[in-house]
Amino acid sequence: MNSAIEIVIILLMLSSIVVLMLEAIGQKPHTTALIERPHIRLFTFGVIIAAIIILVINLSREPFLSRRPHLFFESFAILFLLINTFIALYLGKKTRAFLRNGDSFFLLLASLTAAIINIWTDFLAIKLIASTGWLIIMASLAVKTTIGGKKAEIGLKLSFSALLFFILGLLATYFIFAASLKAELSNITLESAGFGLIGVVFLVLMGMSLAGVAPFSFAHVDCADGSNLSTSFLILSNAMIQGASHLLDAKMILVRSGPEFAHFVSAIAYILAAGLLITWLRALDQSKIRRTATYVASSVAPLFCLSLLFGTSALLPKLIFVLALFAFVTIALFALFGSLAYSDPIYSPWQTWEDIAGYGRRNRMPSLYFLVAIASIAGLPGTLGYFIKLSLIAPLKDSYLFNIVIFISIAMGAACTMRIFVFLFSKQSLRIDQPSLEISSPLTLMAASLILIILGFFPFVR
Amino acid sequence: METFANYIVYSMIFSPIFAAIFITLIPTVDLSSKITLSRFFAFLGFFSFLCVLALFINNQLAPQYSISFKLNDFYVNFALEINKYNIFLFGAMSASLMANMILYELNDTKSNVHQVAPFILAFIIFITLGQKDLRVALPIISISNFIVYFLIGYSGKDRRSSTIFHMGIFLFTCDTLVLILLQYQEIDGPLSLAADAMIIVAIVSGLSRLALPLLAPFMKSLFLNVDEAEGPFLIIYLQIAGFAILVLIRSGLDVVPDYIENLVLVLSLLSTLYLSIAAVFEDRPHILPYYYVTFYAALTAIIIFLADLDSFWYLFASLLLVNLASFLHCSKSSLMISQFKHLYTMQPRIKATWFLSLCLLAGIPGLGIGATFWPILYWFVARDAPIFQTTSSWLYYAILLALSMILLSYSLIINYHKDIFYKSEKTHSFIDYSSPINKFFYVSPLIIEAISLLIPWVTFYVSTRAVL
Repeated sequence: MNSAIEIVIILLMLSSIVVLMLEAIGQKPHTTALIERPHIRLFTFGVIIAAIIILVINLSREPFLSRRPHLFFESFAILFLLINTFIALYLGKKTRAFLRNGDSFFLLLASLTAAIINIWTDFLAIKLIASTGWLIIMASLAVKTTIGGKKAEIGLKLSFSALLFFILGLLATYFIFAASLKAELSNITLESAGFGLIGVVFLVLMGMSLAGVAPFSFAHVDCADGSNLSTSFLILSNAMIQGASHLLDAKMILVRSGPEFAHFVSAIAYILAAGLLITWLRALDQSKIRRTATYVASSVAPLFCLSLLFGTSALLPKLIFVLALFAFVTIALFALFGSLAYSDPIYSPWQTWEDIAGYGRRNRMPSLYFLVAIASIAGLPGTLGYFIKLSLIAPLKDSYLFNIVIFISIAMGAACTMRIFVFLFSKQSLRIDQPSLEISSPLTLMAASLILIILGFFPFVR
Repeated sequence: METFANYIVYSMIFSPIFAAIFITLIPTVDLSSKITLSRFFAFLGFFSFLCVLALFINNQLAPQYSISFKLNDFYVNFALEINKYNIFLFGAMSASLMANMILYELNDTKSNVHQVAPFILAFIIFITLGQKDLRVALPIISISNFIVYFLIGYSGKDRRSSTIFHMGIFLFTCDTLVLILLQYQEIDGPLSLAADAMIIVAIVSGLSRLALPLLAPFMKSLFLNVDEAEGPFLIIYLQIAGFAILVLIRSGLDVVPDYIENLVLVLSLLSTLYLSIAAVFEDRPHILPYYYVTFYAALTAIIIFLADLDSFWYLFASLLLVNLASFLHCSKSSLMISQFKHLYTMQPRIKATWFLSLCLLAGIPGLGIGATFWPILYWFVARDAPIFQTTSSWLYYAILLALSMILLSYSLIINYHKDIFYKSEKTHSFIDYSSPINKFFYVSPLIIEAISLLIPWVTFYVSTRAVL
C-alpha cells in the first residue's frame, strides 16, 4: 500500500513542477489569451484523478481491508485529501479562486503533496516539517486568492498559526525523543508519566492546532471567513484530516503504553468536546453570515476528531463507518461552502443576517442546501451529522459530562439552525431590490444535501 | 389475495408521494388540474385505507411489508408494520388529508411547496407510523418539522418568526434528548434509570406536539401564527405525529408504571384546565377550535396511558378520530364566519349552524365529540370503580376535569355571545352580496354528527376482530 502512496507523492511532485513551469510561461506578456489557463486547470484535474484512481485500485486489492480497516487510515485520509482538493478546484471554477494569480495551481498541488507526506510519514520530525510547510503554503494561497483588505490579516494569522504549530511540534519532538530515543511514532511507548507524556501532550496540542479546534482555530476561522470560498473549503477540510491523524498518533501512543494512561486518552475527548462547545457558542453570537457559516464549519473539526478517535457503530462494519466519517466532513463542508458560493451576494464577509432577510424566499435551492448543511453539522435528528454525534455516546457512556456536552452542542446547533431558518425563509426582505439568482445551483450540491438527509434516516448507530 | 393486499397497502402509503410529484409537474397556472389531481390522490389514499381496514378486519394483512436491497455485504431493509395500534392513525391521516383537500382549495398566491406539503407530510407520517422502533421514527418526524416551519414562515403573521424559533428549539432539543437516552437504554438495559428517563422525555416530546400548554410553551403563538387555511392540517399533522410517539411508547409497555400514569394524568388535566381558562379569555373566535382540539387531545393522551394494552388503541382512536372530524369542520366554519361575518349578520340559519358547529366540540353528551367522550369516561369509571372508593387523588382529577369542561362550555357561550354583539354593530350594510356559502354548509354539522356516531361503532367492531 505504501508503494502506491509513494507513487502518488512522486506523481504530485512531478506535476507540481510541470504546473509551475506552465504558470511561469503563462505570465509572459504574449500569452494573455491563456489568462484563464484552462490547460493548467485540466492538467491539475487530471493529475488528481489519476492519483485517486491509483489509490482506489490499490485499496480494492487489499485482502484485509474489510476486516481491519483501521490499518488503512493513511490511505483513506490521503484519498479524501485528494477528493477535497478536487472539490476545491471544482468550486474554484465558480468562485474564480485560482484563475487570478500566477502560481495558484502550483500552490494547490504543493500543498496537497505536503499534506500527503504529513499523513504518510511515521517520523515526527518530517510530520512537523510537512505540516508547517502546508500551513505556510496555505497562507500564500489564501493571500493570493483573497480580494480586499483582509489579505494582511489572513496572512498574518496563518503565519502566526504556523509559528505556534512549529513551536508546539518542536517541543513535542524534543520531549518524545528525549523520553524514548525513537524517531518513529509507531514504535514509541511511554514507560512512565514523565517527559514522554509531556511530549504527547504537545503532540495533542499540535494536532488540535493543525485541525483548527478551538481555541486554536483563530487562523482557520479568519481564513475561512475572509478568503475565497474554495480556499476556505480546502483549508478547513484538509486541516481537519491532518490534525486528526496527529491526534490518532497521540492516542495510539497512550493506548500502547498501558492502562495507566487510559485517563489521558479520556482527557483528549474532554479537550475536543470543550472545543466543540466553544465553537458553537461563538457561532450563536455572530451577526455576519459568512462568520456564522465559518464557525459552524469549524465545529466539524472537533466532531470529526472525536468520532475518528472514539466513535463506534454496532450496526455498520468498521470500514463503512470510517468512510462515513470522512465522507461526512467532505460532503457537509462542500454543501456549506458550495451553497454559499452559489448565493451571491450573501457570501461576502460584510453581509449580515438582517441584510438578507427573506433571501430564501427568492432563492430557494441554494438556501435550502445551506440550511441542510448547517442542520447536518449541528447534528439535528434526521441528518447524517446526528448519527456521527450519536456514535460517541456508547463509547463514552461512563462520562455523563461528555454526553451532556454532546447534547448541549446539538441544542445550540438547533438554535443556530432555527435562527438561520428564520432569517432565510420567514422574515421579509427589508430591501426592495433584493436580487434573484440567475444561475441555478448544480446537481452535485443537491446530491450532497440529499446524502446528508437520507443517510440520517438510517439508524446505523446503537 | 396476498398480492392484492400488498398493492392496497403500497397504494395507501405511496399515493401521497405520487400526488406530490404529479402536482409539481403540472404548470403553476393550471390550478384546476392541480386541484383535481390533489383531490383524486387524496380520495385514492382514503379509499386504499378503507380497503386496508377491511383486510385488517378479515386478518388478511401481512405482519410486515418490507422493501429491501443488498449492496455487497450491506443490507438495507425498509419495513412497515400495520397493526391494531397504528391502523387508526393511518386512517386519521388519510381522512384528514382528504378532508383538507375538499375543504380548502389550492390557490395561486402561494408556492408549489404549499400545494404539495400536505401530501409530503402525509407520506412522512405513513412511513413513521409503520415503524416499531423510536430510533427510526423520531428522526424522521423531527426533521420533517422543517416543512411545518416553512409553511408557518410564509403565513404573513406578525410573530411567525419567534413562533418558529421557539418551537424548533424546543422540539429538536426534546427529540435529541430522547434519542440520546435511547442509546443509554440500549447500553444499560430496559430496567435502568436511563430507560425511565427516556420514557418520560419521550412522553414530553409527544405531548408537546399535541400543543399541551404545560409542555409546549409555544402553544398560543402557534395557534395565532398559522395560516387560517393551512393551520388545521398542520395542527393535525403535529397531533398525529405526537400520538405516533405516544403509541410507540405505550405499545412497548405491558403495564404502565404508576409514576408515568400519574405524570400523564396530572400534566394533561392541568393543561385542559389552562386551555379552558384561556378559551374563556380568548377574543378571537377563529382560533377557538384549536383550543378545543388540544383539550380533547389531552384527554386522548390520558386514555393511551390509563387504559390497558388490549383496549387503549380503539378507545383512543375513537376519541381522536371524532375530535379531528369535529375540529376540521369547526375550523372551516369559523374561517367562513370570520371571512364573511359582515355579510351574514342577520341570517339565523348561519347563526344556528355556527352554534351547532361549536356544540360538536363542546362535549355535550351524544353530540359530536360528546358521543364518544362520555361512553369512554363511563367505561373508565366502571373499570376503576373500586379505585374511586379508595384513592382520593382520583376525586381531584375528576373535579379538575369537570371544572375544565364547565369552563370550556362557558367559553363557547361567551364567544357565541361576542359574535352576536358583532352582528348588532354591523347590520347597516349597503351592499347586497350573494351568498358564497353553499347549502352543504348547513347540513355539515349533521354529517359530522353522523360520523361521530359511526366512528365509535367502527372502532369497537374492529377491536372485536383484530388479531395483529
